[in-house]
Amino acid sequence: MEWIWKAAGIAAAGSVLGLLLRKHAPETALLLAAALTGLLLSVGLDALRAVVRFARTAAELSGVSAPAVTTVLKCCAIAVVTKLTCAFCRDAGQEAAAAALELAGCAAAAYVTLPLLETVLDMIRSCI
Amino acid sequence: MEIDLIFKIAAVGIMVAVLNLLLSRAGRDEQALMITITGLIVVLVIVIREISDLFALIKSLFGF
Repeated sequence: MEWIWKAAGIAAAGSVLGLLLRKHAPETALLLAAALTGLLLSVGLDALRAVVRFARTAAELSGVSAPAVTTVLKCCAIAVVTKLTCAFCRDAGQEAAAAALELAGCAAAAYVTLPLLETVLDMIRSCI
Repeated sequence: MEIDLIFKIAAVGIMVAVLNLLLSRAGRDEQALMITITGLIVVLVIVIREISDLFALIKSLFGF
């Protein structure tokens, strides 16, 4: 659990440096924020690896099919990437791009869940 | 944890800002602009590599 303290320290140091750069080199400050975000997220995702492994094992034991779990995880990945990239666009002042990306993320999540929805439809058809 | 990356980017940014200020005050605005663009490209190359690694990590973690 020691990594959370390191991550907090890195976030604080990076934020102060970003504040320093914002006045004279705003483009570099934005890229610094992107690098900081990537670094912190990679640390968090390393910790999340164990959680995902546990979720897969729990689903396997409870009899949930593997494609369903994979679909949920894919939706999570789409949400993480979309949220971060939208925040980056907003930091850069590109509200329209952020809104478009949100829509694209929704479409991607819907596309990923299509096989599950088709399974549900098949189940309903078999019941009728 | 690659904290060096953050310091590297901050160092490039500070250098670019100082050079930009000096050249602007000296009346060499074109060179200041070139310095800014060069610094931006250098930082962009570093950041893009990091973002690419992050996306690869996300893909492997969530089973894409």
